[in-house]
Amino acid sequence: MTELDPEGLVFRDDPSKRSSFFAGQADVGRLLGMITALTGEIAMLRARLDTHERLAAEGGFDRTKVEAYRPDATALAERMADDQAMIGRVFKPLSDELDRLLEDPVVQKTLLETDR
Amino acid sequence: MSATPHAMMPEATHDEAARFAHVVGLKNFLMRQLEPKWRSLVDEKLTPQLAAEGRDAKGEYRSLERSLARLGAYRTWQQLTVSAQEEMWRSVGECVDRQLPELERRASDPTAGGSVRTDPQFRPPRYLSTVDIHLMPGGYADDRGEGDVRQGAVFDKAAALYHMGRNGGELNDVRGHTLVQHYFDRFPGMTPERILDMGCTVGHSTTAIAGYFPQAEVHGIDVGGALLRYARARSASLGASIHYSQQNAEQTDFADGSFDLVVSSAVLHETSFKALPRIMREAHRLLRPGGVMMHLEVPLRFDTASAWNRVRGLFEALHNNEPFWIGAQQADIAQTVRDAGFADVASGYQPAVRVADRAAEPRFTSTPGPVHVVWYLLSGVKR
Ligand SMILES: C[S@@+](CC[C@H](N)C(=O)[O-])C[C@H]1O[C@@H](n2cnc3c(N)ncnc32)[C@H](O)[C@@H]1O
Repeated sequence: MTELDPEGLVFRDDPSKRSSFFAGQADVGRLLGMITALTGEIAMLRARLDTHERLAAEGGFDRTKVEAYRPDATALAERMADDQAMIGRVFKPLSDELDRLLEDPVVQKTLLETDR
Repeated sequence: MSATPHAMMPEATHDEAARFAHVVGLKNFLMRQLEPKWRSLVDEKLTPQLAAEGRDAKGEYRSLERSLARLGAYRTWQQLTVSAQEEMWRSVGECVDRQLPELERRASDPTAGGSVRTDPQFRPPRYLSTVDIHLMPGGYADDRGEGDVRQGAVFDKAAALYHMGRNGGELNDVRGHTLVQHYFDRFPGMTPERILDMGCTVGHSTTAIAGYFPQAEVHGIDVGGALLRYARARSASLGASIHYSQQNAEQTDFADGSFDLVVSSAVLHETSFKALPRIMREAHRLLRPGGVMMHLEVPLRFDTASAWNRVRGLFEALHNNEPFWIGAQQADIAQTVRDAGFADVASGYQPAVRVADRAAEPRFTSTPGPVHVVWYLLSGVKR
């Protein structure tokens, strides 16, 4: 339950278990976890590619130079913006669904029917 | 990325740094792009519709949360928020493990200032041991034995990411500076000689505070040996000699009247209704007459929280493992301070500062503000 206990604490029904949001379909949760990790790997690859391109522009480079490369503030800001756009594209179906819910009076009406 | 801010900070490879930047980006997206949509659905669409039926969305936040959880999109958002947090710990853990022997070697320097005292018999209280707070695997108390600094290194590296640059970058010490500014604002003529920081974690705030009072003997207590060994080495490398010990803030082994300043920073919201008065009474016991106690906390109150903020708070409590998140916002902490016997009790909001200044115009105010812009400050004097 979600009531505070006498010490003011609240825990999941079984605090020893991880949060599970898809009852009976734990694989959906795991799949989302994997997608999350995958976006991290895409981001890392994009950053590496960006490093290659920037070093290429300066002349030759090798693995050591790539490993040692750290973006300056401008390059980092460009990368972060690029990453936000990538995240936005990957998670667009969710974001679109939220926009739709905001304009869907029928679903909103069902949400008012709580189990209070 | 810039050079490491101190000798103990784990170094990130090219790819690790890229993964870290992405985790920050992902958290940013979830918080700044998606969460506002849930906020407007709940606060701008559902709340008025409930009001039209004579119902109070704020009061019904628990059943509203169950209602939202019927939506696949809501469950997906919840899962992604948890996954991003897990990804942060996973990527930081991997970076730390790669260089752990080297970090342990640096932390074992016998000539470093300060000290660490651990206690093999120590058991953390229920509010810290039931779940891993913030989903940090192993929790604050995780300790693999003599010489281990892993959890400290993980916490330090992750904290800079977790706060997304809003708490003083890699030093994460804005809260420490803000506590000192509060001290200067309220007690301009005083200089403490013995200071205790309760719930110091890796000494982010402790080290900042120590910097203003170079003559003072400074102590920090927390529940995890690995945190404290790391904290000692971290502060030594920043030039501060601090004495860390593994103790419960509810009951320490320091003698009565040991300190003239006792503080905590972002600790109380991770305790419990039962612990709060015990911590206040312990601080009172530890202070000499005339000594000052100050606590810094998140500036959030439950009574003024919108329906969405309450739903979000419940999520934080249940799924980011912050069991006292809601309780702390409902507690009358100032009353526990008065009940413990403190005089001149003041509570309000202290604007966050990167450097404290004794000569600055006092800015402690009763006007609330957003987290990281202001902090809730509560202070009192032992008569
Ligand atoms: C969010 S961290 C505080 C960070 C640090 N004070 C700062 O300002 O950056 C909360 C810390 O309080 C500690 N803590 C909570 N209750 C405690 C208790 N009863 N005794 C000792 N430490 C406690 C936790 O172990 C954790 O390290």
